[in-house]
Formats: sequence, C-alpha cells, structure tokens
Amino acid sequence: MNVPDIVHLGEGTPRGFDVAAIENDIRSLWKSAGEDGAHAVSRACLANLIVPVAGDADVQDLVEDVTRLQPSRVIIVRLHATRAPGPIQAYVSGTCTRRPGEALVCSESITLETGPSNRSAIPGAIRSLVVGNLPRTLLVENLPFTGLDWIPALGRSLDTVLADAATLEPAEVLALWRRCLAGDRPPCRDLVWTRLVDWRRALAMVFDPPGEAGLLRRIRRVEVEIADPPTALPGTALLLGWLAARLGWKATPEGPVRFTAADGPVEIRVRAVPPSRDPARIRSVTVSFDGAAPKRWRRLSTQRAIEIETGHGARRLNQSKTSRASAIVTELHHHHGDPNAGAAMRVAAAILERLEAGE
Amino acid sequence: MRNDRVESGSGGRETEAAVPGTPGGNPLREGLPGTRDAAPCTVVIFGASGDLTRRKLVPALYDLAWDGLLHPDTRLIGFARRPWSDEAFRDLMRESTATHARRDLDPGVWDQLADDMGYVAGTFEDGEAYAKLAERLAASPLGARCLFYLATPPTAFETIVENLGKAGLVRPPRSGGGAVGPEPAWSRVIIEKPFGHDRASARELNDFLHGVFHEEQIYRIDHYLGKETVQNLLVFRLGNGIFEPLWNSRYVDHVQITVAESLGVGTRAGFYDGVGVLRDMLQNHMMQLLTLVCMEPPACFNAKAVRDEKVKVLQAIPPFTPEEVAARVVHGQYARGTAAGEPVPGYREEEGVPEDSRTDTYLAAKFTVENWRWSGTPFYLRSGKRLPKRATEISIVFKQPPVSIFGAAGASRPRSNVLSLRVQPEEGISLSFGSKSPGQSLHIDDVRMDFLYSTSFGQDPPEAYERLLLDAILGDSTLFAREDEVDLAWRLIDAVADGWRAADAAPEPYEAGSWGPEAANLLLERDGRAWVRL
Repeated sequence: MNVPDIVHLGEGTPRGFDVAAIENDIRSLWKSAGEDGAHAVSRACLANLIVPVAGDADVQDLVEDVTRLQPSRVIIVRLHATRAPGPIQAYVSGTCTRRPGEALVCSESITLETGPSNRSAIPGAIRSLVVGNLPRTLLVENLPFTGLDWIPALGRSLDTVLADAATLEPAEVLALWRRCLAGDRPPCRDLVWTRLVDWRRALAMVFDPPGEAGLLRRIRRVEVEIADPPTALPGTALLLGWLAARLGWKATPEGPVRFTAADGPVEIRVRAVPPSRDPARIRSVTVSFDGAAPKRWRRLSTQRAIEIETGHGARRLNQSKTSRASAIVTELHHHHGDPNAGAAMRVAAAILERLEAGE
Repeated sequence: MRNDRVESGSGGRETEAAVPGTPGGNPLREGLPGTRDAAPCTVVIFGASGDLTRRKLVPALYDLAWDGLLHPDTRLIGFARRPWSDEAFRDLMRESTATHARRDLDPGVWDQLADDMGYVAGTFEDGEAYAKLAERLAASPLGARCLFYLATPPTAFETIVENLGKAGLVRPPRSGGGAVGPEPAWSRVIIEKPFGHDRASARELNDFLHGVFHEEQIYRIDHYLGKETVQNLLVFRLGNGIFEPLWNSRYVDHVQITVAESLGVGTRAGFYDGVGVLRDMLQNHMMQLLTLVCMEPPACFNAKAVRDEKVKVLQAIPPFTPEEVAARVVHGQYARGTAAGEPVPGYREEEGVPEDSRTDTYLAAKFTVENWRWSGTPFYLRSGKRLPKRATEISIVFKQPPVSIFGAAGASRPRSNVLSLRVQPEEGISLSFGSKSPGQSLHIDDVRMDFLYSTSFGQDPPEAYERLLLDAILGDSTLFAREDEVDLAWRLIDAVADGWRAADAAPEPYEAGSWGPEAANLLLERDGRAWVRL
C-alpha cells in the first residue's frame, strides 16, 4: 500500500483552553491514527517548538519541514489583531511523515488562538503544554520581534528564542541583536547566523594552507554581491562582522563602512544584483589583497553550492545548511553560546544601518 | 567524536606569518561549528572494478561530497586489471553512484568528484602500472596526501603494498611539506578484512605491512564500527549517568551478542569455504562488539585511549583449552530447509562448496572476561547463516531482584530486565521491564520501552563506509582495529580452531531457517538461561 509522504491527522474543533481536554484530544488523535491498521504509526517527540504567528498566517510548510527532520510537539500561537475578548481557544492536530518501510512518524501540534485582550495568559498556557524534560524553543516567524512582549515572562521555561533577521524590519533586526547580545533569559539566536555557516566554511577553507593564511593580513577590499537587499543586509553585516571580529579589524566610526586592520585600511563594497529564482541572498564575495590576485566565492544558483575561484581553477563547496528547517533543527538542541556569533553581531549592529543607508 | 590526529607536525613551510594568536594560522577556522574539514587528498582504490568499490566506496565518497564533508579538491583514482579508460571508469562509477548512493545524483556534486577522477589499468603485480600511478600522483600537489584503499582479496595485500613501497608512493609519517592545505603530506592505507586467517598469518601480514607503512598509517577496517548504532553504544554507556553504574557483574546476569544472517553463502563460497563463521564473523565484528560492551571508560575519546581499553578486554578473555572448546563452543552447518517460505539448499549443496565441507556456518560460544568488572558474567555470542532473520543485537540481561515480594500475592515472578541494543535492522534501543497489569489481581507483565533511530531522527544515518572513509582522510583511527587488537582476537580464534582440530569435531547440521543446532540452546540451558528471542 502506498502511503503519502505527509499525512495530516484530523484538526480538532477549537474549544476554550483546558489542558486536560487538550491532552484528551491528543490521546484521541493518536488512538484514531492507527485504527486503519494499514501502516505502523509512531508518535514521536524530541523537542518542543513554539511558534507565534500573526492571525491566520500559514505555517503548515514550516511544521512539516521541521517535524520531518525532528519530531516535535509544536505549539502554534495565533495572535489575532482583532478578536472579541474571551478565553484562549485551542485545538490539536497531527502531522505524519513517511519513513522507510512506509511507517508513519507523527508529531502533534496544539494551536492556540488568542486576541489582544489575553496576551498575558499566553506564557502560562505554553508552560502547561510543553513536554517536560525536552528542549523548548520559541521561533519568531514573520512577526515584529519587539511586539512579543510576553516572551520574557517565559524566562527559564524556554531554552532558546530563535528569530530570522532576514524576515525582520531593520529596527527589529537591531532589537533582536541587542537582545541576543544582552544575554537576558531566554537566550536568543539569529537563524541568519546559523545559515551563514557554509559561507564561513567556504571562506575559511581557502586560507587553510599555511602559505595562504598570511594573506589574511593583506586583505584590502571585500566586495559582497547581494540579491534583495532588505533581506540580505543582516546576513551581509554578520558575515562582514565575523570577518572583522576574527581578523581584528576596527570599523571606522562614521561614513561609508570601512575597517582598519593592523596593516592598513579594508574597503567594503556591497552591491545589489538583480533578483533571480535563487532564494540565497548573498551571491558572491570577492576579496582583494595587497600584492596578490583576488579570490572570489560565488553562489551557484541551481546547484546548492559555493564556487571558489582562487586563481588555481574553480572548485565548489556543497552547502549543507541551506534550508530554513535544517537551520531551525540545528538550533533546537544547541543551547551553548557561540562567542563568534556574539562578536560578529556586535560589529554587524554597528554597521547595519550604514549598509542600509548605502554608505 | 573528537578528531585526534595521529599524525602531527607543523605542516608545510609557512611562507608568511599568519594573524597572531590563532591556532593553526587561520583565524577564520576558530569556532566553526561541527565541521571536520578534510584536507585535499587523493584516494586510490585498488580493486576498483569490484563490487565493494561500486556499491559502497564510490557512493560513500559521493555522499560525503554531497554533504560538503570532502574537500572540493579530493581526487579519486581507481586501479584494477580491466582495461578501462578514465572516461569509462567515470561512467561506470556514475551509474553505480546513481543506484547505490543515499543521496540523489546531483550533477554538480558528481561533476566535481568526477572532475579529476582517473583510472590506472594493470595487475597488482605490474610494476609499470605503479609507475603510471606514480606519474599521476606526481602531476598534482594532491598526490602528496594519499589514501590507498585495498578493496581486494587478501591474497593481493602484500603484492600491492610491496609495489607501493617500491614505486616510492608511501611517505613516512611526519615527512612534512609538499602538500597543499593545512596538513602535512601523508600516506595511509585501509585494509579490508579478513586480516590474516590465523594469528601467525596476521602477524606475518603485519610484519610485511610494517616494512612499508608505520602502524599509525595502517587503517584496518571493520565496517561494523562505522555503524551509527555501534558508535552509539559508547555514547549510551558513557554519555548517560544511569547505565554505567549498572554495567558490571554485580547487576548484569549475562550478555548475549547475536549476529544473524538470513542468507546462505550465495556466491561467496570461494571465499567462505574454509573460513567459516569463526573467522568471518567472530574474529572481527563480534569481537569488536564484545570489546565495546566490556571496555572500561577511556580517559579521553581519542584513538589511543579507546583502543587501549579495547585491548585490555581482549587480554582479559582467557583462550579456551581444547576441553573448554568442547564444552563451551557449538558449531553448525546449515542443511536443507526453508527461508522466507521457500525451500533452500543445504550448505554442501551450494555452488562451489565441496560435498564434504566441514566449514562452520553457525557458531555459539560462551566467553568470560576475567577482570574486576566482568568476572562471573558470561558472554554468549552466536552468529550464523540461514537463520530465520537478519538481526544484529546486543542483549544485556540484568539480574533479578534478590527477593520476589510479589510471589506471595500470587503474582508471577517477573522475568529479567533486558536492555537490547539493536545494530540492525530497526536500529535502536529497547528496555524491557515488569509492570503490573491493570486489574484487581497482582499480575506482572513484561513491557518494553523502545527508542528507534528512524523515528527519533529525521535524517538518515550515514553509511558505515562514509564515516570510516572520512575518518581515514582526517587521520582519525579510533574506529579502526590496531595491530594488537587483531593479534589478541586471533589468539582466541586460534584456540577454538585448535580445539576443533584436536577433537576432529565436525559441525552439527541445522535446518536452514532455524535458530541453529539444538546444542546451542543446551549451551545456555545448562546455565539456567535461554537465548533472547529475536
């Protein structure tokens, strides 16, 4: 028998928030899931993922992509801008993905519907629904980060707050980074940084040979080509921030973005290129040196790879962390601080507005 | 796992000062998460026209490339007798990769891997072919780091190694410069099992290899050690606080290790006959599993520390006397029977097997490990062909409570708790324990808690060969057998073979599709125990 890759289990009827009723509904959901006896059904949960979204925003793809990689209890918090006062409404559903042997591995979702009047009840509702002793991550999805004033109330009940600076307005990006840098609970991370790992690897790899590492002192210009500047600039700023932090460059205090290295100035150029079907935002990085040929890293739009042109022929590095879901799953179990991220963010926060101003 | 490089050294000449205060000279490397970046190198596969290359090795290299774990400049050269061109070799490997790799064939990934892929045609004795190989390696700086993979019958090992040495293709460890990338030049060799056919031949082979390669350059592969679940055995034991305190003879009644195959000898009779399950399974896979179950926690997770502890386990297993072989080892040979509902021939009726073959296709044995942790706990190992199902499982059977307080209330006595570590199929871990059945009476039933890899993690685990190839490229020998491990394992195997020879013992026939000879059941029944039902 053919089992589809994704199977959705019945969406329950919204009812007033009641933890016992929700857990009952979940039990009924699983009881019904295996009743046809046609295929094995496993209920699995390795993490809690809490996703606040605006109103009726569609998060189904996200839930499917994440739970396929990491079965989790997903708590979707729908924040309606206008809604009659009343208790939080809740209902349950399930998402199953097919694994080898046609067995279905299923994750449960609990959706909370709430209006502006009972935002303060959200942290308590979340606390009562998370599965104990498993990681708890809150993902800010296409929402103003600064509007989620109930997040701090979750405090120690959360392990991590994840946000994606590429989806935020510039002021929100800075608010996110400031919060991440402040070290408040719950700690936060930016998925843009997670996704930059392949670019960082590609850049680092070229300077591994002992003869090449010395070139890092002689960098005089870094040019970055980006598509869709509003979403690309946070990643660009973080990438430049990482380079600056690792190489000891100091940003000039004002004017066009420029750094001062121990052996001279480093000029920065960021150029927008026409958009294409490639969702990647950073398209190329070219590094020029004092007294040596430039090196270029170029995103291959159709091949999930970065091509590296070092003057000795082109090579490519296949990218591993390209999808949003894989970046989220990477962070679900990663609760230790990353000093590189903090250092890069500090520089990035100082230059982002200047990059946006086109300076 | 930590990558503890065996070969160390400062690497090639540093022509320019790197940014100060940064290890390795490249400050951009520091803090890059979770990456074990391989240096650019050449992988030379001897036996490149064989099944192992087509079905496992090249697909594994492709999957590594797909995951971005190989350096983009990794080059592959095949070496075999067939008169193929580079292009023909590339085409064949592309076809095999499309069929056998875990990942879909991505033209971009394949093209990069195939870009420098080459082929050298020649017999393993042909000096000219090695000269051609040397030319190819010398034509690129990538030839300065070379991993030789001997995917050949063991009879070819010495010839190939000797010719590699004569052609000057093996660099001594820590020989320094001439390479591109952050590491110095190196040469390493991966050798497939079987490593010798007894202790004496293994020692001869080791001596021979050491004439060309240093021990730290030799990677004796046992693909079982590349399996995620086998690696997880150590994580399970040593990364969790609750199990290790129970992991000793005070709490463990006995341990069973089963490696069951449902298939018969198939087309491998030429290799298998005369080798048998004793040398094909017990000497390597099963001894590796046994040492991982029994070893003490190493002081740190590097190749030397882990392998030192495994060696101590083998040292603590007394070789059987001929009398002990008769009492503690059961060997069998499958006779005609049924498998998966179909009639199947007996071993002696298989193509290429002599009618009077006395090769063992089943073995069960009771070992003891005479150290402080395990003295008094028997280890029952069994392996065979044409058993009812394919299964590899380690069962830790715990002692029962000293007093059964529920017996007076009419409850049945609970069975022992069993912790099952399944290596294949359905990789995972189960724990069985007694629980009160619902109802007014006090009745205890066994229930089971299951962890399944496929359920818990949405990503496919890498193939064993991916892991091991990458480790060899990285210079991490933790998951490869060291000379003394192999030697001590053969010591135990030789004792069994000597016992059989002294008693002129023929293997007991068992019906194909059964769980082996009845004597194997009696082996445990005599001790008041039974095989865990798989």
